[in-house]
Amino acid sequence: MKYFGGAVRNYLIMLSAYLLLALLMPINRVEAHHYMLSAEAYHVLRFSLALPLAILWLVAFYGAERVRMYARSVAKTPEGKAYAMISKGCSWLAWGLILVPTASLVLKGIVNVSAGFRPTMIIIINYLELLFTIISFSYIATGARQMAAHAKRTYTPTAAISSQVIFIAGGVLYGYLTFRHLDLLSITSTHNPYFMPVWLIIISIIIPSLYAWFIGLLAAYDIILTSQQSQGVLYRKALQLLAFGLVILIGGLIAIQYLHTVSPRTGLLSLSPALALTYAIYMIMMLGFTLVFLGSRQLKRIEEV
Amino acid sequence: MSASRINLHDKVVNITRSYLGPAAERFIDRQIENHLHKTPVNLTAKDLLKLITWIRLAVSMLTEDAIIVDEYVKQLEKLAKKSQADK
Repeated sequence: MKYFGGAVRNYLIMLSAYLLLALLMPINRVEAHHYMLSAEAYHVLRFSLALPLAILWLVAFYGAERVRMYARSVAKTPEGKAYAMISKGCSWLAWGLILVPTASLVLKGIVNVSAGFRPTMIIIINYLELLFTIISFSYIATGARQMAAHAKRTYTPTAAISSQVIFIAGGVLYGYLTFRHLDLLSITSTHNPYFMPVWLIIISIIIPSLYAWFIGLLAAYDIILTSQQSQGVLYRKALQLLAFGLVILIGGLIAIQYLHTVSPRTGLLSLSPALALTYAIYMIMMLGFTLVFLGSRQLKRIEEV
Repeated sequence: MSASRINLHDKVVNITRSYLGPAAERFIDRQIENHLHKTPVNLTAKDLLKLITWIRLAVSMLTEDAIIVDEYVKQLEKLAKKSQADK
């Protein structure tokens, strides 16, 4: 348990900060009126919405810490660099899951006292989410590629074609759903839910998102490939747990980002099906982090006995 | 003599690789160093039975699947018998 000191400390600091902010940040009177809530009830609602997130963050920090511990134990081995990269990716992913909602809470508090800040807030949150996704996927993808190369695994033509087809189909659907929100008659128009000119959305949101998802899908494929074909029945079982966990996390993060782009943020509290879907994806990601935790714990045990 | 010692170590690692994959060599070296207090290259046929006892114990901590443990140990015991006979 003592090994988790750092992870628990970080988690408790971030959770306390988030819960304090949820209690102290000014309420949005329009939202409170819309849902017929008193100021206290509004705070309670915000607090209760944070509870499932608190569980997700706990599992995320533990999972990322377990991978870091395993990566450290095999640092000097041929596969050490690959696991170090995957560990960094998991850490960025866990930190992103907690930092983006915390930043969002702070910025929403500012919006509640200065409504003109809303476009800036939405732009910052969209970029923050994208930034954490790109960084975490880049590390995981580099690690996964190194793992596959070390195990001498390469893509079969069928797998390469099918992954391209899935990516193109997903990308086209994403483009279609995103462009529905944009005024395509003027590429400089900012009258859209992203509060940015169309050309800037394409360059700095759509293309980087597609890039992130592409490397995310490649990473998922590399990890699955390596885990399924890896030598050693006990090692393979542990690696498969880690691999499936990572694949769920990559899929979950893509789904969250997809949802936030297709159904753009409004900066307002919205008890809508999109919120329910977001929480459902968070629950699935919790399972992903649990598998990552169990897989890396088993892998580390192999290095200890 | 030295070549046969290295071969024995490699043979044990090769069998172990089917169970522990890339962690096999590290696992075997750890068992030899920690329990036999020897360097892995100095592993002899005489050490094998004692090593197998420790390996059984260690692998039982990794899995509850007795079939896998028994299968692994049987392969090592076969190697031990063969090594004793060769000697």
